[in-house]
Amino acid sequence: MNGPCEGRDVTVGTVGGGVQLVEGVDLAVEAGAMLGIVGETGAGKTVTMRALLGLLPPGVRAHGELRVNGDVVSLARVGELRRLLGSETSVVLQNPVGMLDPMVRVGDQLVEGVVRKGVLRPADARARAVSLLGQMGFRAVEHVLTLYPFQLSGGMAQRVTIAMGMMPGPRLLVVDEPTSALDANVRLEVLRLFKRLAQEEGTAVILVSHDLGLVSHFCDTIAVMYAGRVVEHGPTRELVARPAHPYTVALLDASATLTARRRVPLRVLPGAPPRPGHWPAGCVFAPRCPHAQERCVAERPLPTADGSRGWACHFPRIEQA
Amino acid sequence: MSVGDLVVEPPRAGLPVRASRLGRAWARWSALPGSLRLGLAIYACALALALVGAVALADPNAQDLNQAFAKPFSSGHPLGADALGHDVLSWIAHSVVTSLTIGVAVVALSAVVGIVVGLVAGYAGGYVDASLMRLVDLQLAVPPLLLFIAASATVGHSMVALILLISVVSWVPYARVVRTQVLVERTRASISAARLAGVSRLRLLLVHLLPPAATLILVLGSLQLGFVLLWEAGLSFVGLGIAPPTPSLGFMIAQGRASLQEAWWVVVFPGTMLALLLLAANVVGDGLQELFGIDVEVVER
Amino acid sequence: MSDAAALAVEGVSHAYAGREVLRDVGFTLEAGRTLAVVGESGAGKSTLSRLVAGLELPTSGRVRVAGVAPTVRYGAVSPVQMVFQHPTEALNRFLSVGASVAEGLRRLPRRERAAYVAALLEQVGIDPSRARERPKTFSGGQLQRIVTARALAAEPKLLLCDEPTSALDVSVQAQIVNLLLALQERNGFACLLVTHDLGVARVLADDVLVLRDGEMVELAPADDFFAGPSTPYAQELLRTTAEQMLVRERA
Repeated sequence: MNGPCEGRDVTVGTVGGGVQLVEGVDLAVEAGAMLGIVGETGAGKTVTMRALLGLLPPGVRAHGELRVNGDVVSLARVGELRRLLGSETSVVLQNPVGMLDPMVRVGDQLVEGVVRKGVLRPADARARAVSLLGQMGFRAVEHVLTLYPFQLSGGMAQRVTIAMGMMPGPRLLVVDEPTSALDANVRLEVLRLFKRLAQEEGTAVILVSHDLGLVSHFCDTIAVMYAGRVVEHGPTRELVARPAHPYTVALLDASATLTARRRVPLRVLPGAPPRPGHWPAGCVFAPRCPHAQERCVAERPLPTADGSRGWACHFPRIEQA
Repeated sequence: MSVGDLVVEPPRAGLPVRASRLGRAWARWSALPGSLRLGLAIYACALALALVGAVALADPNAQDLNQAFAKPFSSGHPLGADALGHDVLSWIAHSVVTSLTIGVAVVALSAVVGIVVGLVAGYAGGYVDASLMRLVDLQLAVPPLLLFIAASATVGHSMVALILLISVVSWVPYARVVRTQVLVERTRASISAARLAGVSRLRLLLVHLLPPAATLILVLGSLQLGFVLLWEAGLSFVGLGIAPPTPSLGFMIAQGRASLQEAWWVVVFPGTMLALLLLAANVVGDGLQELFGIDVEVVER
Repeated sequence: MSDAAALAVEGVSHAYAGREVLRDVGFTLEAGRTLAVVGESGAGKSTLSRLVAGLELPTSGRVRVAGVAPTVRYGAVSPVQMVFQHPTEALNRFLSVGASVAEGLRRLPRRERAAYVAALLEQVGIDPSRARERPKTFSGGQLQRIVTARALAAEPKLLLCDEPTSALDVSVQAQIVNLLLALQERNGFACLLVTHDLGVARVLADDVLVLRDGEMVELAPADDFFAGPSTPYAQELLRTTAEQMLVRERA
């Protein structure tokens, strides 16, 4: 089996150092496993993902490293990252409609990328496309290959873009907010198929999402991001059962509304996540934290680790459920 | 710029905290697109020339046959004189006023007409929209030059007549742009909210449906100014436009054609002024498009 | 006090271009209570929303708000006010937020409006001194509060909330849910909550209506519904939702 894919000390900011977007993020995913990156607006999860893939917009620079398939690539070397994209790394973007060219048939689109990158020969590419579509739950695969994107339903389009992402047999696949446009039942089905496929192929998957509930059902490990950094990470079951960081607790509360009581106010965090450039000194979560103390406002907590878990908090709630 | 769902505003560069008001104004000016600054600078120079002309230079219509075809840089005639001894510089300076007045008046008038038509067509829909769009087709079907030839025979050469005439062929782009914006905006939630709040029809049109089109109208107007200037000069050139005693660039260029070999300055200097004004109009239009981040061609289609 | 229900929907059907989008929908809603209308996309929730608001007329059947058909007219304030899914879309970006809120206050003389606007902004948790600012200086959650304040300004009989939390950050959604809860207790309006988010419905709804392909599948009190729906479709809906949401054991 391959070693884990990692992002080390991912740091992203605007050129000229005006605004920091992400600071010192460390991520690791084992082959065949899924890491969920969870966070709200301004947390930096999309930025982190783009930094690893070399997809940052102009005017934004990244530092840190990507380790994949034994190679170490500096995030500042966008050219190299782009070369890896479509072979060793791959991506499934948020909006399936945006990822598919409306003028090209599904079959041709699936094959185009890997053939152009020289990853597969045309005949092999086609065979792989057929195989992947089958694994993503399509029955009339030959027919689907001839369709244009507008002929696909939302669920079908999402499954096609996932197949597209898997075409090069990447070591690392980053998936951004999958299925956010889909209905509940379709979403479950798509993610189940996807998870099985990734496990079989030994692909390490990073799933970026704002939906902690969804992530907790499909990901093996979770990293919680807030204001540009990872505030907590660990195996899903443990993190959900015994969260350490107060922000994780708040997110869990906010996501668990199905078991709330009728007409009873929810436990709520005041304020809103800070925007880049407006991060507080000291602990970035202190202004909203119900347990904040003087030390939190003055001093930024460093990440601490405990086995496979880690958090950045002066007073973690690790003892409480 | 935006990354994912994030829009990041880079901090304003180069604004020292204790800058004077002038310093801050200069910083804001420097932040505008280069093309916009160039165009506005040209306009400013032209207006300055016009001001100087109104105050300090000789009457453009003053004939002095002794000075006929005076060369440029000769005393009393920095840019030379024409066949009848008119001072070229003074003529140009006064023409600028004429041209810009007509230009601005036409743009304003056609914009108002176009906006009203666009608002009504876009919001009312149905028969009203259909008939107004037929009106647009009608106007587009008539070749402007034919219209001008026919009309100036009846209406004459006054500035007012010219303004009205050019406006008749200029209002359509505004109507189209505003109508498209209204069709897009009317499905917006804010419009439903305004209707539930019971705002008046007029308020809905002017406060809720029109403002999103404002930047487009501004860009359109600045580009149109160039077209109007060209039309005005062209009409004066063929004798259908402004006639003396009102000075006009087109008229002088027409007069100077006959003696182009001996007195090139009678054509070249007014021509250069016209070209500069056209450049300014186009460049300001481009600059505004860059500033607002829009592309008028895409919208007009 | 009128004994007409705050909202009465009777035999409402609606068709677009020959296609039936809603079929024979009927229910009543009393003042002070909340009905959640849930279902998948394409179920007809948005259409029902527009019909209840009076923005469109049903092809058959009738809608009555406090006994009167909700029509939208220039110069007349509607008894139905709305909170929309996308707060940036719901506000005129060229007006100050105070001016937007004041649009529902035409019944008051001009002098009194500013004070009223300030009071409303406070009620929704927005600093009243910010009334002159434009929407772009506020966060999504704050904008949704402002939209709610504007809806309240018109003293509605029925507050129609169309996916009010779906476009907001998770930690902010709970704030808006609490806000709607508190405002309804205080002001006594009826609330029609259209949403695909069963978690939000769980907290806010007194009753739940499930729509599927334009038809009513189940209509039940909320506690009964969430304990166990009676129809297979609703059971499936609840099950797939629960599988994607977190269940926390609270100590």
